[in-house]
Order: sequence, then structure tokens, then C-alpha cells
Amino acid sequence: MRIVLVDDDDMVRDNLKTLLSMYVTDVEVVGEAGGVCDGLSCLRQLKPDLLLLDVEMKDGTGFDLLAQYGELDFQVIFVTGHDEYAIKAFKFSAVDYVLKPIDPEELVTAIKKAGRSANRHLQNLKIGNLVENKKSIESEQKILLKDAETVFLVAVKDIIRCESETNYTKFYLVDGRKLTISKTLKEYDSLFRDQFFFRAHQSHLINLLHFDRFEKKEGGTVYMKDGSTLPVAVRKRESLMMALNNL
Amino acid sequence: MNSIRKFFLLVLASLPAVLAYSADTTSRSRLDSLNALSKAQVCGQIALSDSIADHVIQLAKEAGYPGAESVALKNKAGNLICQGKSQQAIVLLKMALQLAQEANELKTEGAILNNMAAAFHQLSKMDSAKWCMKQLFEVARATKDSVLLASAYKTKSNIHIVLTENDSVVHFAMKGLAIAEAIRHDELHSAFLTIIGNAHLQNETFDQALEYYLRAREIMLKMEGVVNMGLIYHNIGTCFTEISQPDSAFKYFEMAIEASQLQNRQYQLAYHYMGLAFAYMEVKNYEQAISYNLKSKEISLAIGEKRSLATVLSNLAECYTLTGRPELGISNAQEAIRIDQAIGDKDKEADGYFLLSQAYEKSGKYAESLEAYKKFYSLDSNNLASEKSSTIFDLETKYQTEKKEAEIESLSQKAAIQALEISQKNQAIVIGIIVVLLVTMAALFIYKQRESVRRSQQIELEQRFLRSQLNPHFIFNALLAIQNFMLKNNAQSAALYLTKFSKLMRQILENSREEFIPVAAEIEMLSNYMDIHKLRLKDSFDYKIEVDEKIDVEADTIPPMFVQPFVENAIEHGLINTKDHGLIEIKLGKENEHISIAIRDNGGGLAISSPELKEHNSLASTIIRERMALFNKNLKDKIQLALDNITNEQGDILGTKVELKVPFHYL
Repeated sequence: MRIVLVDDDDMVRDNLKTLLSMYVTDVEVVGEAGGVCDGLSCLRQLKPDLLLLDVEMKDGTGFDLLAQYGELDFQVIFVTGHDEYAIKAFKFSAVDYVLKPIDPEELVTAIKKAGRSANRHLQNLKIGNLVENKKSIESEQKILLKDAETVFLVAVKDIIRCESETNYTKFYLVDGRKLTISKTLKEYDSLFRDQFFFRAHQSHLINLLHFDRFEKKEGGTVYMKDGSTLPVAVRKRESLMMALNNL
Repeated sequence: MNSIRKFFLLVLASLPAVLAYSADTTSRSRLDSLNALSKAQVCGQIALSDSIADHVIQLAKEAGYPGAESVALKNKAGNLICQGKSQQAIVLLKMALQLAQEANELKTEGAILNNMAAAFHQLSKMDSAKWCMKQLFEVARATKDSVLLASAYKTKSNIHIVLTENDSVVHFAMKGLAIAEAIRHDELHSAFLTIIGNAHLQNETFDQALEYYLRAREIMLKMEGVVNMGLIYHNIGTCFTEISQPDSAFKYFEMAIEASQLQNRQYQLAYHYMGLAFAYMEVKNYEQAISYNLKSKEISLAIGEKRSLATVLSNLAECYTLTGRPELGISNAQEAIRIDQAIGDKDKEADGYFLLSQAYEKSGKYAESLEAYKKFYSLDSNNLASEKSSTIFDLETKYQTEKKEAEIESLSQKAAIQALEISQKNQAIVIGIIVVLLVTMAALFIYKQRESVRRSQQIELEQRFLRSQLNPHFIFNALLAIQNFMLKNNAQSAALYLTKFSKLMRQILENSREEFIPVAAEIEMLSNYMDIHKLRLKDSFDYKIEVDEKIDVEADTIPPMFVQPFVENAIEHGLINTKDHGLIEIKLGKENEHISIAIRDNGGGLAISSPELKEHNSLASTIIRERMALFNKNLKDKIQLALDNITNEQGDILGTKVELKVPFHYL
């Protein structure tokens, strides 16, 4: 597998090369670059199989680089420090990433996964969404959801609510579809934190954009615009009122 | 009472020792203490007090200490006043005053003037007494001696009580009372309470009089060596008699008698018995009244006190007449009249004739009765309105009465208007007070609110500041570098890097807690910080730190970590674009109230940075600016900041220059 490294920090590139040579077989670092411009020409010239890409660089971001490159013909793994916005963006689009300082195991897993999936279309869908989301405002962002067979790209504002089913999360969408995704509700709770979502109950996350009314009977019930009703935990009632006020 | 006895015994026992001591030395302090001893006995053990005073006068003359001589003369005069020999007292006091003025002893002068005023007042020379008071107040104010001032008020009140100007009495006594209370001078405190009581007694407002007397008694009971306990009991007894509580009156007169007997005050005793008798007369127990009056008479005869004798004889006359023994009434009244004539008391004489007239009437001797009544009438100037009628007199009386009534009516109207005005005024005052209170409370509330907001702002900012210092990029990059050294088996570099890194962490954590840190600590932290960057960036830049000689790096302290974000900026964004070898220069200088810190780099300047990086910068500098603002809110000398590009003559950017001016303290 031919790899290109793009990172503005010599130390990081050095570190990556060392780790690759020590832990991964069948890979070759064919080129490296310290910025967006250099990286672009490097990629166009070398046509690698895999790009290990830094997020923040002196002359721009990794997102900029990918947007400028256009249709991708290689796999991408992001390398990032502690950038919670970037990490959230990766999660939204199910893009692979490793954290600095790099855990060799994580690196190996990510590279193996990249080697297996040769689905260029999916790759472009993910990166396309990543770049799109970066440009659009929060409420217009889309999230990539995968169930056993299918990949869905769903606008966050079209999600009415999420319901926890043990280790799965069931999504209820505006068009009536129900998707069951193999991630916990907790994960989406934190992903949608900046959106108008509210964790009304242990097993319910609701999108307040689709909230209809709250009734106090039977310990409190939320009515969504699609007619579904959900219980509200007693100690959540007050914060629900506050969240509605802030809408 | 036992305590008083003990006190006297103690004084008597210690006297020989004091006198013996006086034989071998004539120091001033000893004369002062002798004077104090003498003063303690003034009006008490008069002979003892006088003999000590004489001794002091002699010694003071020998020692040339006019101050002590003056005090001794004053003490002697005090004794004379107590014995009613005011004329002689004044002679001594004039001498004493002269000596005190010569010695410039203001306090003594005050005390002397006070005694002089009392003496003149006894002699009814009110002008002289008033002159003394005027002088006394001047002296008291000059010395700022509260006791003296209070004593002055006491004398002043006493003068007014004789002039029966009760309002003035209460006015001055209240002033004195406030002072005495403030300085906790029990003797003066009780004296003023007594004076106010006396004024109320004269005013015949007995309830109030009683209240003040009881308060005075309360204080006197706590004091030692009280000499006129009998008087206060007597006055309380009188009040109880007047407000018709005879049982309490009996009790207090008996207590008065006991007290005065203990102190052997015969003159007072005579009056106590009279008071007791009067109380019994009020309950119509004339036999008891007669027996107590007889006791009083006995004492007055024994000490040759004519005034009390005349009074008691009148009282007896009244009792005898009322109990159907007019003959005894006649003889007692006649005796009383004779004495009153001798001492020239016209009012009392008139009373005597009135009693005589009644006694004659009771015994059926109407001619004598009429004769006595005529005498009474001619003496008594106050009974014109009530007795002995003639037509003209009646008319005049009627006219007078009508006039009086009209006056009273207009007065009561005036009083009503005044009361209304006062109540309006009071209302306004109450409203005013409420408004002031509300405003104060509101102000306090707002202040507290602001204070707590400011506190929480500060805490929040401190946390954000700490987080901005512990930039995660920096931390993870550092850790990555360490990992890299380790992967390459470069244990030494890894260890060095790790050590520097952990030292920096410790410095940041420690310094961020302080409001001011020594310049040396700041420099150490900056060096460490730049060393770590240098290691990571493979020595792609150098740095220089220059410190002005005027700065004492160990003793001068500055607010911590204002410099680091600018250094970080210079390394991360400034130096990247330089073609030369990077160089960061930090210069610390001292200017008046500030320490100036200049950070220069030879990088690409401020404008080069990409928009997104700028965003990152401005985040760090926003926190810096906020922190500066918060610091400046609490500091007298403000932190100043100037950012600029360094350019050459052609306008090319040669780098960035940041100038910080921070206030400093000495450790």
C-alpha cells in the first residue's frame, strides 16, 4: 500500500514513518508534504492508495485540501491532536481518524480497514459530507448512518427522535422511516449536543424542532409532531422547559 | 454598709504608713497620692481629710509644688462647703485658684471653679456662681476632660434647681448624664440621675422622679463608699408617699434611717423621721406620725438644727390638732412660729400661723383663731385669690379667671397645632428613615450581586486562562515528540524532553494560582517553554532574554503568564514564514510604575497568518484581553498592550513586536 503523509509538523511525519515501519507490513511511504499546497501536488503526482492527513496546517486545513482535490481516488485517515470540533465532524461522517500521540494499535486497525474497503463511492460520500458539513450551518448538517446493509445520509433536522434499544439506536425520521443503528444512544446524545436535541428520558432523545406539546398528566408526557408520545423523566422536566425557552 | 466601714478602717490603717513614708521623701507623686487620700475623705471623715490636707500644704510649700498645695486647699474648702461654711471655703478656693493658675494645672483649676460655683450658690450669690460656671466650662472644654465637664454640668444643674428652673436642670443634667454614662463614671452617673429626680420632684411629676431615683439607687448600690445613700432612700420614700403607696414609702424611709444612722448623719435622720411621719399622716395613722415626729424633734434639738426643728414642730402641731389635742397643737405651733421668726423664714411663719389658727378654732378660741388667721393672711402672699372676699376683689378675680381661661384656650390651641406639626414632622422623619433604609438595602443588594458576578467571572476566566495556557495541541505535540524519541531509542532526549515538559506543567499550575510572581519565575517558565519548542522544532529558532539591571528578578513581582501567549504566537505563526534563522528577543525593562516586556520576532508579521489561524490567535488573545481587563479592574496601575509589525524603511515587514507594560510589586 502506497501512503502519502501530509502534516506541517516534521516531528509528526517522522513519528508516523517510524510507527509504520515498526508496526505495519506491506506499506510504503511514497511521499510527504508539510502543507495544503505541497500536499495537493504530491497527491496528484503520486496517486497513493492512502493519505494520512493532518487537520490544521499553516496554509489551511485538511478539509480544504480534500475539497480542492475533488473526487477522491484514495483512502483517507485523519491524524489529529485535540480538536473536538474536528472529531465531531469525523464522527458525523464516519470518517476514520487517529489521535496524537498515536496509538500503534489504532493506527494498524485503521490502515487494515482502509486496505479492505475499496468502495470508492462510499469513501467519496463520507468525505463529501465532511466537506459539505464544514461549509453549512449546524441545523443543515447531515449525518452518515449505517445499518447492517445500507448507508443513509440523513439531515439532522429530519430526525424526529431517537430511541435506545440496548446497544442499538432506533432513528425515527420525518418521512416515516425507522433506522436501527448499531451505536448507543449516549453517543448520539453527545454528537447532537449543539443541535436542538433533548434527552428527555433514559431511552429517548428528541429533536425539539419536532416537539408539539408537553402534558403534565401521568408524570409528564411529550407529544411529538408525528403523533408519538414519550415519557419525560421527573428530574428532566425543568431542564426541558429551559431548553424549550432557549429554542 | 460593711464595705464602707472596711474602707474607712483601711484608710485609717494605712495612714500612718503613708505619713511615715512622707517623712523621708517629698516626691510629687507622694503628695498627689496624699491629696487623693484626703479627697476620698472630703465630706466624710472631715477631720482626717483636713489634717492630711494641712500636711500636704506644708510639704508642698517646702517642696515648691503649688499644684499639690492648690489641690489640698481645694479639699479643705470642700470640707468647709459640706459644713455649710461657704464664705470661708471661698477664701481658700480663691487662694487655690491662684496657685492652680500659676502652676497651669487646668484640671485642678476646673475642680476649684466647680467648688467655687457650689459655694457661691450656697451663699445665693448667683452672679458669682454663674461667672464660675462660665470659667469652668471653658476650662473643661480646654482640657477635654469628660469627668470635669460632667462635674460642671452637675454644678450647673444644681444651681438651676435652686432657681427652680426645672427645665434647665433637666437639660443640663441630661447632658451630664450622657457624658457620665459614656465614661462609666458611676458617681457622676448616679448624681445626675438624682438631680433629674429632684427636678421632677419639684415639678411634682412623682412617677418620673421615682424612676430616676430608682435608677440612681441601682448604681449607688454597686458603688463603694456612697455617702448619701440615706438621701436617695428618703427621696424615693417621698415619691411613694405622693403616689399613695404608703407601704413602699415606709420601707424606704426605714432604709434611709438605717443608712443615715450607720453614717451618723443626724441632720438627715431628723428629716427621715419627718418623712416617715408624713407617710403615716397620709394613711391617717396620726399616733405613729406623732411618735416619729417626736423622734425627729429630739434629734433636731440635740444637734441644734433650727430649720428642721421648726418644721417638725409645725408637723406636730398639725397632728395634735387633727387628733383632738388642740392645746398641744397651739403650743407646738407657737414654738414653730418663734423659731421661724428667728431664722426669718416668712413662708414657714405663715404656715405656723395657719396651723395656730386651726388649733385655736378646734379649741373654741375663735378670737385667737381670727387673730392668728389675720397674721397668716398678712404674711401669706399667695392666698389672695382664694380667701377673704370683697366685691372688687371678687370682680377682679372673675376678670382674671376669664382672662386666664382665654389664655389657656389659646395656649391649648397652640399646643394642638404644635402637636399636629410635630406629628407631621415625625411622619416625614419616619418616611425619610424608611426610604434611606430601603435605598441602603438596595445598594447593598446590588453591590453583593455585582460582587458575586465579578467573582464568578474571575473564576471562570481563571479556568479558561489555565486551559489556554495548557494548550492541548502543545501538550499532545510534546507527548508525541517524547514518543518519537522513545521509538528511536533516543532515551536521553526523551528523558530531557519529559523533564522539561513536566517542569513547565508544574510552573504553569503553580503560577496560575498567584496574582503576582517574581520576574525570575516568569523568565524561568518562558525559557523552559521556548526550550521545549526548540527541541521539537529541531533548533529552528533561537531566543534571547534580556533583563534590565534595574529589575531585581527575585524581589520584583509581576502578574504571571501574560507573555507566554505572545511567545507562542511568535513561534507557531510568526517564525514559520521567516527565511532566516528564527529569532525571538524578549526584553524586560523598568519604567516608573511598570515593568515593560517587549517580544520581537523576525517572522512574517501579523497580517500573514491565514484567516483560520487568525481565529485561533484571536481566541488566545481574547482571553488575554479579558484577563487584562479583569486585572485592570482591580489594579491601580493598568496593564497596557501594543501589537505592531516591525518594518524597514521600504515598508517591508521584518517581524512582529509586542509590547506589554505590567505593574509590579515588591515582594
